[in-house]
Amino acid sequence: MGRRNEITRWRRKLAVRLTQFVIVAVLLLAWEFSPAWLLDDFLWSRPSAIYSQTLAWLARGILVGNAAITLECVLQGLLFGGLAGILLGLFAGLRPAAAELINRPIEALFAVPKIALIPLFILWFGIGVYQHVIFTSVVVFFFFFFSVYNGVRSVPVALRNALSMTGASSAQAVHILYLPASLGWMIIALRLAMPYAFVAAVSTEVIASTSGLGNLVKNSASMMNSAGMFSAMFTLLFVSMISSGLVNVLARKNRWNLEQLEE
Amino acid sequence: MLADAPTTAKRDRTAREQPTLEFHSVSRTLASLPVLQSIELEVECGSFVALVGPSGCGKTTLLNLAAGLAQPDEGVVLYNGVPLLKPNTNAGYLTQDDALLPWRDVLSNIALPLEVKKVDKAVRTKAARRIIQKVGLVGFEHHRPAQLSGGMRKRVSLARTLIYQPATLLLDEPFGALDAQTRMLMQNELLELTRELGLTVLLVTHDIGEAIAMADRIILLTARPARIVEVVDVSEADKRDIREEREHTLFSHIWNHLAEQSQIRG
Repeated sequence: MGRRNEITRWRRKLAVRLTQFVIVAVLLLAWEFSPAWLLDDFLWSRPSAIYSQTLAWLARGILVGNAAITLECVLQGLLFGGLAGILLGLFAGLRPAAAELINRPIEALFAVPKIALIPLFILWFGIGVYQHVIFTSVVVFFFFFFSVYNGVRSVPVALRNALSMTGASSAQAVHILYLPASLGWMIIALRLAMPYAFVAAVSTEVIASTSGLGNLVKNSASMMNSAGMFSAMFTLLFVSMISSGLVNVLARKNRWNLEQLEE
Repeated sequence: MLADAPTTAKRDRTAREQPTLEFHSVSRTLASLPVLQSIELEVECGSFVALVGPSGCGKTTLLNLAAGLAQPDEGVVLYNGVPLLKPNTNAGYLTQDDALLPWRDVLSNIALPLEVKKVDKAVRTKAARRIIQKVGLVGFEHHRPAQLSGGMRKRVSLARTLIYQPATLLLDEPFGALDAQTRMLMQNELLELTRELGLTVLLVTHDIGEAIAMADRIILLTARPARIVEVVDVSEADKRDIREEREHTLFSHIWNHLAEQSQIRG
């Protein structure tokens, strides 16, 4: 019975994958062989041209080098923004007075379209790597702040009391109870923040930079190299998909954490 | 040595006379609702006292005060003659909620209080194993709370409370969420443990049978705001009546069957 279910599930999964593959293949073929009056070569390029551009750039290390720079910016942004969000979220969650003071301003800042801040950040931090990392950190900060804040607040009173009765200090309470209890929330934050971190990093690179995938996209476009632009974009797609996939694997491993707290 | 002797004797005498827990004209208001009103209460060392009253009457608030988790608005709560201003680490607090950390296994949940006290890992694991044996959880050391039944989770939380050897137990309907069968098993075991360890117990319950079967003294509370209306001493005869009702009937026949079947425990 269970085995038959397993087989049906695999079949369905296979069918979905196959359909997706066929759709992509049809689109690529249509793109490749569409007449010039429909998709102008100059503006749209063709999959074959994008492919050879990609091979050429791969050979010269351009794609890998720029992808590494963008990825580094994303990871540093997640690290610093995440750390700041987690610390402030813990603080606000544990001290209601602090929450009252800072929650409103943080909510207000969250609502500001961050992209409008880039010119200001360029003035403050220049166009170098600092500006990219700081901007990415600011974008992901909010996800971590709100989820850790909620994680701490949703710890059942009974658990808090049980720990108080053992005479635990605040530092011990954070270490033993609040951080592990918020772990599931942090992973959700990471899942949400990951794509936004890429958006942030590439946005700053497109606006002002000397390297990175965003820079490659912009330079290709301004040199009317549409094949190069698509090649850089597909690389970006590939890198961000892999990153999100890795985070999802991590999330699945920790699913029990959240479910059991809610019970 | 000689100089020490009289002080020790004196301390012993005061310890005998000093009630473990005292409430002196304690009142507490929650969200402008008076919950407790001039409560006068003394719990002698080694006694088992049950608080019985209608639900929502403020019993839990009273226990929270005894646990030092909250402070009275008026009056004072003394533990061994000292006002309780912070969580009472000499007392174990067992509630209807198991309050176990879901991401930890049985062993490290039980060892938690010792971990907080920064006891060496080998020592606390040894202590936890000893107490696991005592509450009958051998073989489940590395299970997570979600993998255990309600009765077993209750044992874990009892073990976690006992591991730091509290002199007093505060019980807030600890077995309320268990099925009748497991509840009775746990009541008996708890009673044996408290006698063996000479614990002072303050139990909150609305199960009259539970109160009579376990306590030496029952305190009846009014509806909110809770006041003490009557203090009843429970005699051995009362306990026997409760026990015998269980023993002579079909009830006990079925009970014995279930008890045999559940050697593995709740």
